[in-house]
Amino acid sequence: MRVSIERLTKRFGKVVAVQDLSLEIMDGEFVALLGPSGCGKTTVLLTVAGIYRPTHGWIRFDGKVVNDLPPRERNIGMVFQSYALYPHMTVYENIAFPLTLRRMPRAEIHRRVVAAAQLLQIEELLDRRPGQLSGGQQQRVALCRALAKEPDLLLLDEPLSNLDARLRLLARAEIKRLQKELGITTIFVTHDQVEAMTMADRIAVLNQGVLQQFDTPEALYTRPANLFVAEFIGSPPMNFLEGSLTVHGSALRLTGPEWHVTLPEGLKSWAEAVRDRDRLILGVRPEHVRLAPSEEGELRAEVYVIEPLGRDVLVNLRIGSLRLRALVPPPFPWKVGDIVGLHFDPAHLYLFDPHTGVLIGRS
Amino acid sequence: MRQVERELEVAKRGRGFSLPLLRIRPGVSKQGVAALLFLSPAALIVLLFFVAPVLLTFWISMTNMSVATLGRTEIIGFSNYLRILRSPYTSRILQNTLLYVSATLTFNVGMGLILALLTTHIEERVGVLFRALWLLPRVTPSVVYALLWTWATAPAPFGTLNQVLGPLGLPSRNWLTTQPWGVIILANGFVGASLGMIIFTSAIKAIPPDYIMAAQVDGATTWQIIRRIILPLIRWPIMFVTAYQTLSLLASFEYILLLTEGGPGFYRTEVWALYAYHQALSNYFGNVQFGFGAALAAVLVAIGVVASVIYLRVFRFQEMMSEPKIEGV
Ligand SMILES: Nc1ncnc2c1ncn2[C@@H]1O[C@H](COP(=O)(O)OP(=O)(O)O)[C@@H](O)[C@H]1O
Ligand SMILES: [Mg+2]
Repeated sequence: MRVSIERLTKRFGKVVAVQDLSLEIMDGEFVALLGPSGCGKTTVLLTVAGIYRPTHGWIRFDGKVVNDLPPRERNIGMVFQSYALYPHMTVYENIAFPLTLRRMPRAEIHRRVVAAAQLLQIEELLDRRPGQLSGGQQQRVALCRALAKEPDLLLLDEPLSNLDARLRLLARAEIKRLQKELGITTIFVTHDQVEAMTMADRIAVLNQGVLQQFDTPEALYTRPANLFVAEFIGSPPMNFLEGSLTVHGSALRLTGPEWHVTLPEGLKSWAEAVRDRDRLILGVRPEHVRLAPSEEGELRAEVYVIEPLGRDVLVNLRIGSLRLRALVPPPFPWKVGDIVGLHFDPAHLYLFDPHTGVLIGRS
Repeated sequence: MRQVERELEVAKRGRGFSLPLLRIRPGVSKQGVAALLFLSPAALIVLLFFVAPVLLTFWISMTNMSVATLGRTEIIGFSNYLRILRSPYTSRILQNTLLYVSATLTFNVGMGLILALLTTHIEERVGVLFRALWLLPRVTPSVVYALLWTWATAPAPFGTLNQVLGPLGLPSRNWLTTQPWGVIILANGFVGASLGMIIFTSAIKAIPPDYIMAAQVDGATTWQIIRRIILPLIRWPIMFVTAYQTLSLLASFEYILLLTEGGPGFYRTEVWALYAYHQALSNYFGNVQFGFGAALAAVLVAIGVVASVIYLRVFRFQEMMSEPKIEGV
């Protein structure tokens, strides 16, 4: 089913939870709503589910406006952040509940419950009550209840946030596989950019109820629309260097209090176009910072903290009051307090407007 | 099989199944003393104000103590109980009690539930106001409240009820003599429902909203949500209110006393507790029979205990105790 959210605004009294949000979700697509806690993700989900009514705007299913359709007529499967398994029912009764409400024949209900339980490998839990299940089991049961009704749309509200790290990794892959296998249009809410990046076809990044960017994971990583997305997507987050533009012969430089960076060819034309701006922000991801002996680098920085991650080493660096992060391959030959030289990969630099936060251009 | 047994054996010897922590030491442990200390105030109150009076009542019920025999009270065994069994009024009073308790209980719990459900499904401020209004009778002294009912149900042209019904073309009546039970049950119910209302309201509000939203998404109508989610989740408060009100209704008689005094006519609305009161403390004929009254009261205690046990069974109290959590994927 195709889901269109058109100019959706949702207010609770004076609080604007969602503002003028438009998203077009294709049939069978897996879309993640990504943003920090309190940015309105759950509100969007509950509005799509029909629990909340839009203050302004429209929700369309396959082109038809459903603003006035009660939740029970929407054929939606939803997994709540708390899982919301009915504590007085067994797992079987939980999964069967939506089906019994449709007055389905008993045999058909049984068939569907067992099939869904097999799909999620929870057959041996059917007689238990939710209180007797671990977090991972509860999550599966909740997903099973949502899928057994064969919904046209699957809504998942932070389904992995109550799981431990190991289980989260497993469930991540499993949900992704299941979604592709069943081909159900899915909206997945998360505050974890890794989850969104690894699972979704497209990601809608929200901040304070406002859509920042709606694009594929690759596009969000390579072409973040603004500072918020640039910082939110990618781990560890992008480094930002704010300075003013200065001309040195044919070269353009961004100059800060204790440093200056010569802009590479790829950024020059963008910078020239905004020469009237007094200040600009240069963005560079930690994986695009290279370290060198102190006399070789374009910048000089002090090693502040070293965090070995196994596959990489995350180095915190200091240039005066400026902090930078670099992700470099091991072994790491320096120690805390050493002065090292830095290069920025000229092919992966970003230029942002400090006032609006908008991306001006990238090399 | 063999290997498992061997491993078990090793485990037993290795870890030593005689861990001192697992052994229950004879006598009272330090923990036991602390538990007793914490329990003692409550236990003392129960002993002093429940067990002691019950024992005393039982003892008096074995005597022929009355105004007439005050100086020469004798132990007469179970004669008072035999008298209850043989009395021609017993079955009538039992029926009255059953009617009074079951009808008032149904009204109290049912109305309490309806009020709680209604006021939690409408706008918050209106709900609060509505509930506050329903609390008024409870904060009114019983005598004043009963007096209001006698005024309301007085014969025309004084009674409010008749004045309201008159213009609608309904004949005026003396409600207290023609419909004594109706008036008694409503008078009790309007006070009694507020307890259920308050407890059920807070229980409904304590249900996580996620359950309700999940049920909505699952396809439930408001009525289905009430019946299949809300009611099962507030089963424990419903049981508590039902049991509590049964017991308090069994023992209560003040509104009957104030409204009809067991009449009109002979024992028309006399319930067990009122009968005991009349016999033991306020006999029509001046002969106050403490012994017989005490026997009646003792029977009431027995009925109350039996009713409590039945409630615990019917509502499967054991099952409501939380079950152990089993971890694992
Ligand atoms: N039912 C509600 N009543 C009032 N305010 C709400 C309600 N639901 C959400 N909000 C507010 O709307 C904002 C967005 O909340 P929510 O959608 O839950 O965020 P998220 O799921 O992204 O953490 C928050 O400021 C929250 O306080
Ligand atoms: Mg949320």
